[in-house]
Amino acid sequence: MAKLIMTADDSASVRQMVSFTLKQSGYDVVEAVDGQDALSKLGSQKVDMLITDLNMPNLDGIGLIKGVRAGTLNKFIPIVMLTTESQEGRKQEGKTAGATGWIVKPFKPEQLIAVVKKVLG
Amino acid sequence: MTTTTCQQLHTWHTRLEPTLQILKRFAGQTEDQFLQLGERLQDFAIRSGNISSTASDLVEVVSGDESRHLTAQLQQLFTEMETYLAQVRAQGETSCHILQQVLSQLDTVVQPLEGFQKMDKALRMLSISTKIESARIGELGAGFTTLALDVEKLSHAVNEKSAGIMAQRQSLELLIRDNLEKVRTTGVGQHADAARILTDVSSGINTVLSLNETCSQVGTLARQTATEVSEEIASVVSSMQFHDITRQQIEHVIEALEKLRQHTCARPDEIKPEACQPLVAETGDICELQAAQTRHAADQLAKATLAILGSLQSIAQQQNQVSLQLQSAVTGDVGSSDASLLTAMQRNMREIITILNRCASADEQLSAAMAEVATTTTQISAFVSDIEAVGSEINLIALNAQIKAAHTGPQGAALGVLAEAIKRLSLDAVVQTEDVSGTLKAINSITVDIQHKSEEEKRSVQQVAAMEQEAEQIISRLGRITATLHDRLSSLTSTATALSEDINTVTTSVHVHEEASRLAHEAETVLEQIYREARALVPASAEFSNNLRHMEQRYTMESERMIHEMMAARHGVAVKLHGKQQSSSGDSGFGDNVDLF
Repeated sequence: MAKLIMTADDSASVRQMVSFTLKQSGYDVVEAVDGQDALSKLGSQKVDMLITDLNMPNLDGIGLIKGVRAGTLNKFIPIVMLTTESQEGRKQEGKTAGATGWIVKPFKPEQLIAVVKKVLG
Repeated sequence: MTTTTCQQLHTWHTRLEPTLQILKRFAGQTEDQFLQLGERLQDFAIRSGNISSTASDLVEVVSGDESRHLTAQLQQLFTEMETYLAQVRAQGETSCHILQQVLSQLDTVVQPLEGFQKMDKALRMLSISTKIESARIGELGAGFTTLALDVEKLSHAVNEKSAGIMAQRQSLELLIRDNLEKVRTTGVGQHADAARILTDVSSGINTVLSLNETCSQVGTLARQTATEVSEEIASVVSSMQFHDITRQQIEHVIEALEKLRQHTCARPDEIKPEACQPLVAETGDICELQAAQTRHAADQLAKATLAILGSLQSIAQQQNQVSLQLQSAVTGDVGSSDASLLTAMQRNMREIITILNRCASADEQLSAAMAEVATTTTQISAFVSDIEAVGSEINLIALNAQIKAAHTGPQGAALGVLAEAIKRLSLDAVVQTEDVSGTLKAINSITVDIQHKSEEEKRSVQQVAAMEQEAEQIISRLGRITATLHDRLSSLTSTATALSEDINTVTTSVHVHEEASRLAHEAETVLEQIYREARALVPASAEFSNNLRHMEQRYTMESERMIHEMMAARHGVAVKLHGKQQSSSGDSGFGDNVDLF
C-alpha cells in the first residue's frame, strides 16, 4: 500500500508540484491550504509524512509542527519544511519545534523524493 | 524648500497608490495561469511516459526475444533450403546422366532387333522353299508341309515379338527424351531461381539483423530520451515554483511601499517640516531598492517561464524525434508504414515456398517417369523371353527337319539343306536374344538405381513439406509481429504528434511572463521616477542602512538580501545580510538547499 504524505502550502501551484512529484513516485497525497487546515485534517487522518511551508495564513509552519507534535495520531511522523526561507535562525526555530528536515525552494523533484525516501526509511 | 518637499511627499504618496494596485495585480494574477500550466504539465508527463513505454514495447517487438528467436529460426530454415536446393541440383544432374545411359542402351537394342527382322524374312523364305521342295518330291515330302507351316508360324511369332520390343523401345526413348528435356528445363529454371532465392535470403536475413540492430539503437535512444524528458519535467517542476517565489518577492515589495505610504501620510500638513528631508531620503532609498526587487522578480519569473516553455518544447521535439526514428528504422522510409521490411520478408518467404514447391513437383514428375521406365523395361523383358522360346522351337524344328530329310534319303537332300539353314537361324536367334537380354539387364541395373533415386525424391518431397510448414509458421508469426508493430507504430506516431501539437498550442498561448514583465515595468518606472525626484531633492546618504533596517526582517530569500546588499553598497554602506546558501548541518548529500536534522 502506498505511503500517504500531506503537503501544506498556501500556494496552490506549489501544492500541485509537490503532489505531482510525489504521485509520480508512487505516493498518495493529501493537501492542506494552510497550517490550520493541515492541523485539522491531521487530527483525524493518519499520514506517513508532512511537508509544510513556513509562511502561511491562519497558522504558520512552526505553529503547525508544534501542533502536530503535541497531538497523538501523527505525533511521530517526519515533518519537512519546504519554504523560501533560508536563514539559519529560522531553521533552528524549525528544528526546535520538531522539524525533521528543511528544504529551501525551489526544490528539484529528485531531491524531494530522495529526502522522502530517507525520512520514511 | 521644506514646503515644496512636503508637497512632493504628498504627490509621491498619491502616485504610489496606482503602483501598488499594479503590483498587487502582478502578485495575484499568475496563480491561475501557473495552475493551468501545471495541469497540462501533468498531462504531458503522463502522455510522454506512454510514448516512452510504447517506444520500448515497439523495440521489444522488433528486437526482443521473440524476434531474435524468429531470426535464428529463419537462418536455420534458409540454410536447410540452401542445402535442399543444392541437393535438387545434384539430383537433377544425376537423373539426366541415368536417363542418358538408358538412352544409349536403347540404341544398342536396335541392331539385334533388326536381326530379328532378317530372321523373320529368312524363316518365311525357308517356309516357302520347304513347301516347294516338299511338293517336288511328292509323297516323300508330305511331312515337310507341316514343317513349312511350323516355320511360317515361327516367322510370325518372331515378327510379332520383335515389333513389340521395337514399339516399347521407341515409346521408352520418347519418354526418356521428354523427361530429359523437362529435367534440363526445370534444372535451368531451378538454378536461376535458386540464385535469386539465395540473394534474397541473404539480403532478408541481413535486413532482419540490421533491423534488430537499428531498433536496438533506437531503443537506447528512446531510453535516453525518456531520461532526458524526465529531467526536462523535473526542470519544469523547479521552474514552476518561481511563480510562488516571485509572488512572495512582490508581496514584500508591496509591504515595503505600503509602509512607506504610512510614513508619508495622505496630507502634507500632517508631516512635521523637520521630518520632511529624512522622509524624502527614505522614499528615495525605498523606491530605488523596491524598483530593483521588482525588476529582479519579473526577470526571475520571465526566465523561469521561458525555461518551462523551452523544456516543454524540448519534450515535444524529443518524443517526435524518437517516433520518427522508430518509424524510419522499422519501415525503412519515414511515413510509408505499408513498405514494412517485415512485410517484404513475408513476401520473400512466400516466393521461396512457391519455388520449393515447384522443385518438389518436378521431382515427383521425374520420379513417376523413372517408374514408367522401369515398367517398360520389364515389358520388354517379357518379349525377349518369348523370343528366346521361339529360338528353342526353331532349334527343335530344325532337328526334326534334319531327321526327316535323312529318312527321305537322296531325294530329300535339298530338304536337308533347308533343315541346316533353319538350324543356323536358331543359333542366330540365340545370339540376337542374348544381345537384347544383355542390354535389358544393363537397363534393369540402371533402373534399380532409378527406383532408389525415386525413394530419395519421395523423402525430398517430405522435406519440402516440412520446410513449407515451418515457413508458414514463421510467416504467421511475422504477420502477428507486423500487425503489432504497425499498431504500436501508429499509436506512437499519433500520440507523439498529438503531444507535440498540444505542447505547441500551450507554449504559444502562455503570456503570463510578458504580462508580468509589463506590469513590473510600469511599477518600476514610477518607482524610478520617484527615487530620482527624491534624490534630486535629497541626495543619497549613509542613512540607507538605517532607513531600510525594518525591511531586513521581511526578507525570506537569499536573492532579496543580495539585492539589498548591492543597493547598500552603491551608497557606500556595507551590509551583510546573506551568506552562501548552505545546509546548516553540513553536506546532507541531497544538495545545498536541503538540511536533515
